[in-house]
Amino acid sequence: MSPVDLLYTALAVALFGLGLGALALSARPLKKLLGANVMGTGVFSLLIVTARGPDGATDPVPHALVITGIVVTVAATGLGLALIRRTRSASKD
Amino acid sequence: MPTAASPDAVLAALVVLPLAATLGTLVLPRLAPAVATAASWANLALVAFAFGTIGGETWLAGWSAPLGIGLRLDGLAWVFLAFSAPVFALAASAGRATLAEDGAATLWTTLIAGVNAIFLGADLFNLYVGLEVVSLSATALTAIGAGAAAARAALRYLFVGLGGSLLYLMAVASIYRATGTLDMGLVASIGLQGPALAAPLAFATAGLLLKGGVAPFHFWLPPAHGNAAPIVSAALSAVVVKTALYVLLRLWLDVAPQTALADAAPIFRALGLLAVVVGGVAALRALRLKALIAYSTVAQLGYLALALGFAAEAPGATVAFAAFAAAHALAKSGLFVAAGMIAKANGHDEVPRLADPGAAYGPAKAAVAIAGGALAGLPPTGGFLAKWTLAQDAAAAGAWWVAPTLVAAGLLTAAYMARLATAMMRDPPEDAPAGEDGPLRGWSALALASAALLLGFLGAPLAALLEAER
Amino acid sequence: MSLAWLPLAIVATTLVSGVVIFLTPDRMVRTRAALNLLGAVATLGLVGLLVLGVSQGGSYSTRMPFLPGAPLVLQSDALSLLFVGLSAVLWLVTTLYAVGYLRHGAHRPRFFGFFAFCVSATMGVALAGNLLTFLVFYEMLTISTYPLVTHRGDAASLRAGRIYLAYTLGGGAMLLLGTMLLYALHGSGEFVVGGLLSLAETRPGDGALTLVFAVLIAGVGVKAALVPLHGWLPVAMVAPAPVSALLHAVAVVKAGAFGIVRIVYDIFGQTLAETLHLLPPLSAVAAATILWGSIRALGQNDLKRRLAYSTVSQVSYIALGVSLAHPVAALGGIIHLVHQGIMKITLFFCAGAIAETTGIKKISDMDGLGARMPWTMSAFTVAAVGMIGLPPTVGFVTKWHLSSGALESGQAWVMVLMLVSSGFNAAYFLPIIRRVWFADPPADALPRPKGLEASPLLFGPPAVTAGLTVLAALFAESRLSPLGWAEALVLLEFGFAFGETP
Repeated sequence: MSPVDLLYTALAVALFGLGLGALALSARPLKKLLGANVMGTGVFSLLIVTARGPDGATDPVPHALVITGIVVTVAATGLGLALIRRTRSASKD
Repeated sequence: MPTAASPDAVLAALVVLPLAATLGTLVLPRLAPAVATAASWANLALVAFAFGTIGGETWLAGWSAPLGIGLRLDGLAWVFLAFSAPVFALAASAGRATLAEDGAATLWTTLIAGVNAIFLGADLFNLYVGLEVVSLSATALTAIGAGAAAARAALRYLFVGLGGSLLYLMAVASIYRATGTLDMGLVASIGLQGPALAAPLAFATAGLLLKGGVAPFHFWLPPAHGNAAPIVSAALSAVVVKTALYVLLRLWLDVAPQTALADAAPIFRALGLLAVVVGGVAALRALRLKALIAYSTVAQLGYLALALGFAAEAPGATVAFAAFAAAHALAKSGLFVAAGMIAKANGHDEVPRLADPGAAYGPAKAAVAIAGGALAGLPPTGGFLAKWTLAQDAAAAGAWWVAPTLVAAGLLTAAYMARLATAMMRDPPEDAPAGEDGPLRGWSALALASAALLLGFLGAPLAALLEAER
Repeated sequence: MSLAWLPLAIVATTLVSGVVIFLTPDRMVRTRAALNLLGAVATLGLVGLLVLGVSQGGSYSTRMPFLPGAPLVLQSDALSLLFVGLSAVLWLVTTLYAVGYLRHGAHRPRFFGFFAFCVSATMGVALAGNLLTFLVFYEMLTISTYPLVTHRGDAASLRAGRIYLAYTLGGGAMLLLGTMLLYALHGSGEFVVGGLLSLAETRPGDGALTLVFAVLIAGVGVKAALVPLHGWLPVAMVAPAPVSALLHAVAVVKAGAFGIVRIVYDIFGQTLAETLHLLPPLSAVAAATILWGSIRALGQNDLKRRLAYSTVSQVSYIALGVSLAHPVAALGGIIHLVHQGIMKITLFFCAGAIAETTGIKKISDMDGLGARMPWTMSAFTVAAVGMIGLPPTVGFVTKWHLSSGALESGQAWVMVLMLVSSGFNAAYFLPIIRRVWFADPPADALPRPKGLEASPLLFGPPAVTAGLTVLAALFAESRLSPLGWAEALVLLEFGFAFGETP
């Protein structure tokens, strides 16, 4: 594993850990939602590093996975935001 | 050319048909509940038809691995489809009013598509997509037409679902990094070892236990299941939590080597026992009917973890796992639908004050009785089949403590189900509203509960189906 | 003619009767009564067919796939016929009585529906060909009797129901555990004449089988009301009289006692049970139950509660007979399955008829009741004399066999026990009889009505069953009497040569 790969991998894992921490420990819904997004970014980064083959050739599969994952995350974030709005408007009543 | 009965057409239809219905609900919003109900029943028919194609696999639109979407139908997958499909069909029939809420029909059919995709999924990443589709549509369903409490429960449910999915996705990414493939069979044949195996297994297991609501990760489940509409609660507890545990079973049986499962078995057994006790005690103390039923789900999921804990050494444990999952799905969905009717007839859902809703509720009361028996594992129900199989196989493997444990757990279940039995015999107060309900709902609930009863007689075919695959 | 389906048909007929009755609307009283009687008569007919077939040397067995490697088996042997015959006859009688008793009650479809389920479960218990099948119907019996015990729906009934469920589900759990262990150890649980388990399977110092025996007996002991597992029985007294009659005479306690017979004879077998020293503890428990039940009965002023404690005592004669390891004593025990049934159902019928007609529930209020309700009290007196064990009733036949068996096998303490027990029986039944016939009615007592003393459906059934307690004793020597059947059965178990099987 090249030093660049190692750096990216370490960063990816760190992002994932930070996001997981925010999702699990934060009390505020919005922060939790952002945490989940950061977690996702961590996994996507790891996949993108993986796409770089040892001989410099690029594996297309991880890219496809990342694009799919991003779509899913966007949908989840949208739903989360809608629910956060619902809890806020309901608690104002 | 694929014929009508070719696996290609049938397996593809199991995913495409509910998705097409989703489009239909959007194009024809006024007919959406009818479309969703029809699609649920068509899905049931398709699953029945798919029995003839067990062992088949297909690649959607001809795209092969690694980018295509592969679907594989083995005995285990069919069993899970076969208990989920009737839940969707009968719950949809019982809950037309819920499906008429804005967006509910669309989410319902999407949920079916996601569930089918998971049960048929042949590669690890497609399972991730399936898990997310199920998680998001289920979360949105719990929030339909609900107040602040339900919205908060839904939000928590969403975070749990997201966290679990992302933990699982991390495992998938690690496995791809180590093996360069996502196909479960290929990953297994490569034979990962050491940290390259342990790390993804740990991530995926944590995520799936979280999504599956196995204690101590069950904190989100009672509020989410207890605040939704009855048919949504039914689908959630019957099918949705099972999808995560199904993937967990697949992962440990089909991807991880058997020695790894043997090493991890004590963890699953411990978690299973914890869940049975925690869920059972909470159900015994629950004030509200839906909370009682939801905590009962927590306890029942413990049986699945316990069965997984024996899958390495006892061949019948997989049968027990499937039987527990199926019996719980059918009984619990019937119970949720019937309980919803009974609570509505009483005008409240406080267990100590619930009374006999009257002769018009015969089918619903019968559903409560049969479903309660199936959950407590009384013979001759499916719950009994599951316990018997697990106890016999565990004893054969030298674990004699399993039989008394299962019996004691059954007594705990019986104790909280007896609270419902007492309620059904209690004379209603003088000013009780004379309730009438659509007969269809009661009969739907009774049909589901009766299926849980009938399952008790299907032990031999069930074992044969799972034998062919293992 | 192949009649392999006959055992299944008997269980199914009662089950279908129950479903049909559930679907009959509350207001259709006559239709429901007719359906009920139709079911009871059809069942009796099928049982008659079965008895006829078996007495001509036939043997019927229905097997259904159930668990992998463990089928459901319903079959007829002499022991099951004894129980099936008793249940079929008494169901018909009780149905008539219940129709009269519940003329003005609510929830009648539920009552009669579960009543039929309860009989179906009893038939299943009786016809079960292996322990697993026995377990299935034993649990079904628990579930189907719960709504009968709590039928009135008031706080006292619900409380009694909770206690009833706690005991019986606990017992069911023990039976389930024992069954699981037996199947895990042995691989099957068929009821085999002479015992399923053989000596070859026991290794010295291996307590596994002893443990299985203890767990199984504890499981059936709850329904058989063995002390200290008897607490539910007096509490369940809040149930309507026909239910008490059925619970005490046929269904519940009898299923437990029957289970003891099955487990001792057909699972473990006489020889193995003696080798493992399983029987003396059972004798001790049975003896303690006989005494304790009688002592508690003495102190009760509520008629039904006194009868309930009397049941606790009397049912243990069955366990005692089985545990004495002697053919004649065994005969006394097994025959008491039938004898206790017809005597106790008579007593409960009478208690219900009295309460329903006059409102009297306490023994202290029963002064002079014989003049007011002569038919009812005559039936009561006959059955009570039977309970004490005086000739010419079936109670005497039981006690005679138990005592002589015990003497022949050198267990003289049983003779003493029988005498003490009869003394107790007399002590709690004779004062009632004296009160009823010889005490002056209180000044404010209701005058004797013109015409019938009560609805004929209330005093007819006990008159019939009281007649049976005498007839079955007078014709005890006949091969077709219950005793005749039981003799053949005991001969089979103890391996004596005998000329002709029934």
